[in-house]
Amino acid sequence: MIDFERFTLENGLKVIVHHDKSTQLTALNLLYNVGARHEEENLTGFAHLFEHLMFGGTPVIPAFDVPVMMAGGENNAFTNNDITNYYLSLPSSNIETGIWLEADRMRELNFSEKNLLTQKSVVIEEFKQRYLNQPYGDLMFLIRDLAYKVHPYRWPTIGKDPKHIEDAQLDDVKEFFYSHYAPNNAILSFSGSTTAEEAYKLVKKWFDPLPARELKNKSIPEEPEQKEPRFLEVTRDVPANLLVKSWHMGGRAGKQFKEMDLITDILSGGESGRFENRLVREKRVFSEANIYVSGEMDPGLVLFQGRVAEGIKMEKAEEILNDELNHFLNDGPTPTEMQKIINRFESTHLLGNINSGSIAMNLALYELMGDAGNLNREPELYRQITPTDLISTAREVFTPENCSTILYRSDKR
Amino acid sequence: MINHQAQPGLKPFAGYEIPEVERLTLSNGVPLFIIEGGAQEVVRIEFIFNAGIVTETKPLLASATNSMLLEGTLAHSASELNEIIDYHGAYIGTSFDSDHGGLVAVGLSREFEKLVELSSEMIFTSSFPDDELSLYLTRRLESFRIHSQKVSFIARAAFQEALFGKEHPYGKQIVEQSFAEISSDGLKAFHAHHYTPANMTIIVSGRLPEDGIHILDKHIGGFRSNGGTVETGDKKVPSLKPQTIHIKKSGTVQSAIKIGCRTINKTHPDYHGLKVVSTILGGYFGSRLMKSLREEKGFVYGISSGVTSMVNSGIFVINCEVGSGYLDEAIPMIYNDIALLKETPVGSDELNLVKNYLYGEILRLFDGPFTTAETFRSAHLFGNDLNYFKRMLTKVENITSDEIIHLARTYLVKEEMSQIIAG
Repeated sequence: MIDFERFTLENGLKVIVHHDKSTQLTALNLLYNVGARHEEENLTGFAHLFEHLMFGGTPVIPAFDVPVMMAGGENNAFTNNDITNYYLSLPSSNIETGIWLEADRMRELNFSEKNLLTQKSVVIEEFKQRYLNQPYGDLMFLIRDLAYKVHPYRWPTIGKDPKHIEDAQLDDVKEFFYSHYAPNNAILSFSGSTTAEEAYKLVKKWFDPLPARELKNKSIPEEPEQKEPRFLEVTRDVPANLLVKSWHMGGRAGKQFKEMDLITDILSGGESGRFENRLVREKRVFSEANIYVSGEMDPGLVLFQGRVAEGIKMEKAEEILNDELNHFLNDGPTPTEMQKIINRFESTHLLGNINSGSIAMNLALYELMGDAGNLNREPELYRQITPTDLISTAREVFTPENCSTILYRSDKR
Repeated sequence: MINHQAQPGLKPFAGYEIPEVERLTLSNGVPLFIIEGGAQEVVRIEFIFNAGIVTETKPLLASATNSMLLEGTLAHSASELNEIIDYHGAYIGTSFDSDHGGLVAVGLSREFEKLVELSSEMIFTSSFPDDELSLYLTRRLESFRIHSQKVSFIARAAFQEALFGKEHPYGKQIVEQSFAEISSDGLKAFHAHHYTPANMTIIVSGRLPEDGIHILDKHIGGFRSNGGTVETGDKKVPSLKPQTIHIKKSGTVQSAIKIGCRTINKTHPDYHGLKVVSTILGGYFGSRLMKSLREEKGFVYGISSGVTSMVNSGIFVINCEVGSGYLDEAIPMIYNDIALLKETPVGSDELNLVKNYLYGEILRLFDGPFTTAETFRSAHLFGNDLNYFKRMLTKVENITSDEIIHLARTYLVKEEMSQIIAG
């Protein structure tokens, strides 16, 4: 049980505190409800670029990392398609420094050409190092573009094209800041030996003076239902053929997500999933085969990735995969599998909530989805799911019309 | 009206509590260490053997033996093991590095006996089935082919070879042919020699059941080493000249750089000081190298320097992946930053910053029982206990800028460093 206290400031900032006496640190997590899905089509990669800029200094604090380190702290951030998340861990005796820092950069940034220029360059190097310079690096670009035609999920967080990042202007940066970075668009959570009383006092001191901001109220276009299967074939300089498939499914906060979470665990969770046993070990059509939920807030994807074994035709591998999926659609899970996935869920849930950073982040995430308290309700909700639920959801999702397929071929085979 | 300028005061280096580590011995002499605590009913058990890369007579021998512990025992096939492990919500994986190999089991406290029982079975009655070995080697070879296209991988392998030579286990490169030379018999022999109680340490952390020690003795304490001393061979590292190598690779947009040398390890009295030096140079986000190559120029996404210890040696290395067009400018900048450390005393602001940062880092080594267990492991396997970190903290608090110059001149000698570029 992760118990917590919650309060909201007048400016809309939501604050959640979990008191944990067993550590000498406190983790602070600040989640902004802005991600790649809030971007403009011709300014992609912006939320992520912006995350970098947040470390470039403010009129009060020229370099964010310096006070953090002086306080014995560690910090980092990440951006995904839904959120930008900043987290830091400090000796509890110095937690006020963390609160001061986050309030300061939420208030205002040092908008400079130099900072923008440097961070653009850094992000472009990141683009190269993690995507362009890696085998299979363009995979996510291709599958997103195929599966989504309207919704901003059709481009990855890093951006559609390095050129978008190159073209970003300071005015765009300022506009982005003031329309997304606001107390009324953020959730601040704590986990550690700082008490709720201490946290409340300090948060009020540093965040109360910040006014709420008018948020950009642009609504995100819904992805229309996919009504026919889609295909793409590419050839690349990679050692093995990869079969990739995606199907549309419900968003993170919904019931369907939990059901697909369990279904994908049956199919390829742990080492005893069906795909491992049947497709890899028994039939040897794949050397690796994984199916997983992408976990996005808006309706997301279930993704399959399989490295086709040498000597096997891709079409054959795909056929056998489809057979395996159909088998599940017909018969559903066995009683042993049901018990297994429930045990696994409980274990994962507990292990995912032992360190302060994870706890703080999970509290913020669940609050974003409606209620931080739902974090504790998860095991019970998962236990209520029945085999019939799983079969009916699988039949809804795993249809040909809902499917996008990529044959990612090696130029060596 | 809040004065936005007023920075909150900082508490000075408070003492911090080092968690307790209980030490016991099983009936067969295996040392057992216990770190109790944590808010959730979960437990972690690590079984450690002197069975890392340094103990192998050919590439892949130690790592393959280690990985194959998961792939079948006398009583259960790999699939059956996976089924049982997953069914109980457990995670059993391997741990492997330059010096040690073993198993780590994590799961619910109420499944403690199952975790121990399974781990014991997988360690002591591992059967190395031919078909599983064949599957493992196929998958690993494929993975190897993919990774060996990456500039970071190419640079790392060449760097290790430059430092330790073609013959020493730390330096000998894995090639396609290495896979063909691995056989079930070879692994069995390696396993019999190295995965024995005489060669073993156990570290348990988290929340154990009351009869936890009794359970461990029941499933592990009964095994005896079957005679024969563990061969370690002559692992002395040869004396080698530093090398400068550029491995070209077409179609890459970044080059990987590794600059460094062999150095002292954590048993040496200068080690704590050298760690501070390395941190200033490239061990944190605002380091000299990060400032020069990332913040000022945007040449890289990340650059770092660090010291790592192995039982027989240590490595100092600077690491980065740089946009290929920037290579000619980046390299001299790196050497320049090294030279600066030897010439100019570090200013008090910067030194205080690094000291405070390291204080926080040391504190984080004890954030919860699982992390503490890993921290303890890193000290214990070099003959230290957790007081090692108290000594580290003392060094961090007291080191002077003069001492930093002295350490930089002693250990960061350009003429002793190899420079490897891939891409």
